[in-house]
Amino acid sequence: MNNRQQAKNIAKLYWTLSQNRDEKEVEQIAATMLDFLASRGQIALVSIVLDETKKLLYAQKNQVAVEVLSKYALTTSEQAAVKSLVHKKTGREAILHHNESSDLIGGVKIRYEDKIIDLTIKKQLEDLKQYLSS
Amino acid sequence: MEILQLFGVDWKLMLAQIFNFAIVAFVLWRFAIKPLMANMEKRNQEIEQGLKDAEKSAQKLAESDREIRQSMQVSQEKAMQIIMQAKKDAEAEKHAQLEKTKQEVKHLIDKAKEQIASQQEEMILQAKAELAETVVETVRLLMDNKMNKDIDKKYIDSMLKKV
Repeated sequence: MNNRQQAKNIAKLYWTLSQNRDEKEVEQIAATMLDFLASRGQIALVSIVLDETKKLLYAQKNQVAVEVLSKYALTTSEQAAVKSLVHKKTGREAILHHNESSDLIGGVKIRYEDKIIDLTIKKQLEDLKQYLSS
Repeated sequence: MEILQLFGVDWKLMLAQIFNFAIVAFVLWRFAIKPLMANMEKRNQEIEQGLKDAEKSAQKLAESDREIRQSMQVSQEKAMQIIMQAKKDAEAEKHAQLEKTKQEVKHLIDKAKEQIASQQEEMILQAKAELAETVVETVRLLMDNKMNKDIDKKYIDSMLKKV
């Protein structure tokens, strides 16, 4: 079992145990989980577990976390277009997390769940290069 | 008697001469003519035997000669057969060798063609890759220089519509 799958399982367990609990009990469960990971030398999995837990939270709310990467900040209309696109694909409300990258020439890269929609110029150029080389 | 006397023949002398002649004839017959005749007979027999032997020898010689000729003919035929077989074998060997050489040459030519084709393909691919690299790099530089927020917005809008 790889780290990602293991973290998913731990997140599912953590999420299940945390249902219908008050804040204090949830904190206690989180502390127990951290102790468990630390005892096994797998504290590095915490960030993955949190990501997976967020996904479960979003899923419960019929939402989906979307990472958006572009050179410039997205305008409101662009954000709406991205949300609409993801909703069309998943049927869920998109929660955008935007990052800017100066490495990009232009365009946008959208990542949600295990899927990537790469609309960057960099990717287009790579495809063009691949096409011309073949 | 009177006639003998008339011709002056003395019959006593005549008898004596006949007697002498008989003695001489006997001596000649006994010691000369008879051995000579026997010797001649023997020589004749030897000559006849010699002739017979010579004839036998001639026959044997002829027979030997015939046998030798037959043997030579058989040997010649065998030799000819061997030569013909050797020629056939040599021809077959030559043919096989020629075929083998042809196959080897064909194989070499095919291999060379394959190598040439492979090299050509490799060169074309390399040229394409270099061309693609150049084109893409040029486009990237151009776009990088010309890109601004407005252009990027238009690009993103158009791409999102396409998806």
